[in-house]
Amino acid sequence: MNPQLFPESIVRTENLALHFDDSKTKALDGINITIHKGEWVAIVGPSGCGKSSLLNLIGALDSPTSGELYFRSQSYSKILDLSLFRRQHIGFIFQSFHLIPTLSALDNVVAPTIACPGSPNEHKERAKNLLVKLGLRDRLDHFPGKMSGGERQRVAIARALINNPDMILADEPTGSLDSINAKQVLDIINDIREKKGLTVIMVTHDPSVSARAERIIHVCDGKIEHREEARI
Amino acid sequence: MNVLSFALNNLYHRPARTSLTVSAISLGIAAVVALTSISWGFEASWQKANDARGTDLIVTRVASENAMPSAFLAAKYVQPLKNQAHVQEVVGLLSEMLSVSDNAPPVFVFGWAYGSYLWKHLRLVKGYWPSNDTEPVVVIGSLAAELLHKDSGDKIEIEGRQFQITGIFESSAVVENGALLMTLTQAQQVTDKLGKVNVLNIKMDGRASDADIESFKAHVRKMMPGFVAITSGELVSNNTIVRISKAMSHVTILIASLVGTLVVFNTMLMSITERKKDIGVLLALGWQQRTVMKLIFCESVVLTLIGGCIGILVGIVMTFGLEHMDLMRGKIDAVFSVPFLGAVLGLSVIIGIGGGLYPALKAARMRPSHALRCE
Amino acid sequence: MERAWVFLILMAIGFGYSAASPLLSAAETVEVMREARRSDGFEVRMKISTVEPDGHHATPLKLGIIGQCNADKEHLLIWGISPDTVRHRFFAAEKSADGRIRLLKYREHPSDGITETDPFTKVFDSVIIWDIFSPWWNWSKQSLGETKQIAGRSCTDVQSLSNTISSPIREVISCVDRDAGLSLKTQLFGNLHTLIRTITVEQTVRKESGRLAAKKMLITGADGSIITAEIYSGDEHHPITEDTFAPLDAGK
Repeated sequence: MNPQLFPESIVRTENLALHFDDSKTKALDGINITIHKGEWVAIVGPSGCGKSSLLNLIGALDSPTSGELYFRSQSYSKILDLSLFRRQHIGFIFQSFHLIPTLSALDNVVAPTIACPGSPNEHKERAKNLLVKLGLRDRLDHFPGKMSGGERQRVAIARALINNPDMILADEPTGSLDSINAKQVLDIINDIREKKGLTVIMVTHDPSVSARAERIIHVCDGKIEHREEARI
Repeated sequence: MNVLSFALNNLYHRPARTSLTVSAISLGIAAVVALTSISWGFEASWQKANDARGTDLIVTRVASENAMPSAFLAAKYVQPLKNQAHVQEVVGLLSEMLSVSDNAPPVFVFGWAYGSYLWKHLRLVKGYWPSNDTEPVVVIGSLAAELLHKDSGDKIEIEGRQFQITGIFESSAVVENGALLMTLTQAQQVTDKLGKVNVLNIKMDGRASDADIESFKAHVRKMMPGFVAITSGELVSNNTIVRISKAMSHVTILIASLVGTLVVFNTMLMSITERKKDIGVLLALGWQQRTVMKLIFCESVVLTLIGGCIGILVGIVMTFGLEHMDLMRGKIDAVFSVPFLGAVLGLSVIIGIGGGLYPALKAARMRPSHALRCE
Repeated sequence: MERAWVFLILMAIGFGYSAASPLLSAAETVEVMREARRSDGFEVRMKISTVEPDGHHATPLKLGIIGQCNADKEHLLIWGISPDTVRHRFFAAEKSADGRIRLLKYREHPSDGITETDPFTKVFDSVIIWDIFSPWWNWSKQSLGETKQIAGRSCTDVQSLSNTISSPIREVISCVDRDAGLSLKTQLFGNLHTLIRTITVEQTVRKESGRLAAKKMLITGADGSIITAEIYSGDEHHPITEDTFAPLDAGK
């Protein structure tokens, strides 16, 4: 890792562990990783190895059984309102898109801003701009059921960006897409990362997808197997 | 978009469930509106009749389960009551519920002292008033005329005697509009209750204070055992039928509230179970727990408010329908006041909050990671 | 110590038994019923509906009854109110101390002619004067039967047996609500315990004394006829003058 390229750590874990069923199942055990601002990290591993669990912990969707998580220098355990934390710093992209089927594309992107500070019209305008930038100018009023997989994932990307997050957490973002749409989505993610200096942490089991990342972390049976350093 | 528009959108996209829930709430609210307005209206109608006549208090036997208090000889009480401070007039009244024709339901027949102030508030729309105390004549309320298909100049049989209808009148009190009116002497003769009345109307002078009225009431309690001086509304409110009617409306309110809350509870619980993934996504994207709760409460309260508004309309229509039924005509005068309807809407909101409380808490406390794993 | 406990237990049983046993004897119950009937003067008006044995509904009637019932005399006056067919028709009846009932019928003016008639026949094809007098409460043979529930009210059977062999009614069983002073169901039997008719109280109204009076009654005959009598107006203190029952004196 070149400290000049990635000077600031954004997420750091110390002996992070996640156990279920009274420690009978160890989804994660003794994870120690540091992710730097602006990095594109892929977490790879076989099915059930704990990569999605790690992503959930980083995204504050779950609480660890033991160990510590830090966002910049703040411990996750000291954060009073995790929802607010997620809203301010994290954007999620899911394999199944998870768009709300009864909302239009525009409303899906606006949804995370409801009850947030700021004018609803401003949020709407920003959402519109994001969708236009992602090539969905003609799809603003369309419902997810009437859109292709690629279009839906682009709406999900816009939704992840609406609150200007510091990190994008993507769980198998191309898992439901064909190769053309998958490439398109990855290009968009990379483009946004470079323009906005976002950190991208992506879970995938697809080597062709993980190859796009600058660093790959291999997880197996809840432990870090090995790390591949960034390719410059 | 805001929480309310999001909630409305959710309800709009589940039309079957929304309309079923709204229907259930509206039926319950309609029943509450109809029964409560009728039971209040019955009391209010008698009170209105007294207020319209200008009577301040009535003296009557303590009524038990009878529809009207039993008749008593008026003569020995009139003068002693007139001698009380601030009492301007003491006028007897006899009323009975009698069937006056074979096919019609029973109607009120009032006997008012001839020439007394009781007659002054009525408006004669046709014919003429009784001109003396001895003629077997009767005037009929406009509603009663319609119900009995009678007109001025017709004859009518009351307790085996033929009476001439000399006129048709209107009164601001529905209970009088649906009644037949004759002089007290004629009423006493036809019911064989010579010299008897069941109510003495007391008119006080304008200088009587509340304390004077209380003093009069106390005097009656002391000097006339078994009698009471009360307002007409109080008399009717002690009536068993009115008490049962009010109790029924209270029970209906309770049952409608419970059923409404359960219906909303069930609807919202099913709704959040179906939308577990959506709620999980919103929580993951940064929605706070209180925003999720606001959304669920918005949906439940909108459901019950719409149901409440429709229920009020249906209840009003139902009540008008009942008022115009032959059996009930002239007997009920439903009361719809703005505060009452406001209270009904308030009840709808409470039902919405009550029914939505547990589902809102459950939704807010969802763990996003678990919710997102749901199919 | 043991004997004291046994004594206390026996006392408790005895107390419980006495609490469970009837408070009034047959004679006391009969006296309650006689007392409940007493009146210095009453007037009731009732609506009568009859369903004949063949199912035909007779024209409803309205009748008025004035009565007086005290220790030494009982009188009744019944007249037709409506329809026209019953108007201006009167019946006057009295019951003497020895239990004999005399029934007279006449038109509007007694001078038109007074006829004595059988008190066991129906007046206006509906009510039977003999029943209204309830003479069985003066019979010497009275006994208590079981306690039952009728329409949610508790009542005790009182069997009254007549000594008069020629009487069409030889036995009456009344289910008496002693607190109300009212027989909720009265069965009248002829010879050999043949049921002649049943009078059932359907609705009641509270009198000034606190006792109950029948507001609506059903009279079911052995022939299948059903008569409904419903009181729509009443006066517990109807003034009785010398002229009220004058036809009874004129008929003597």
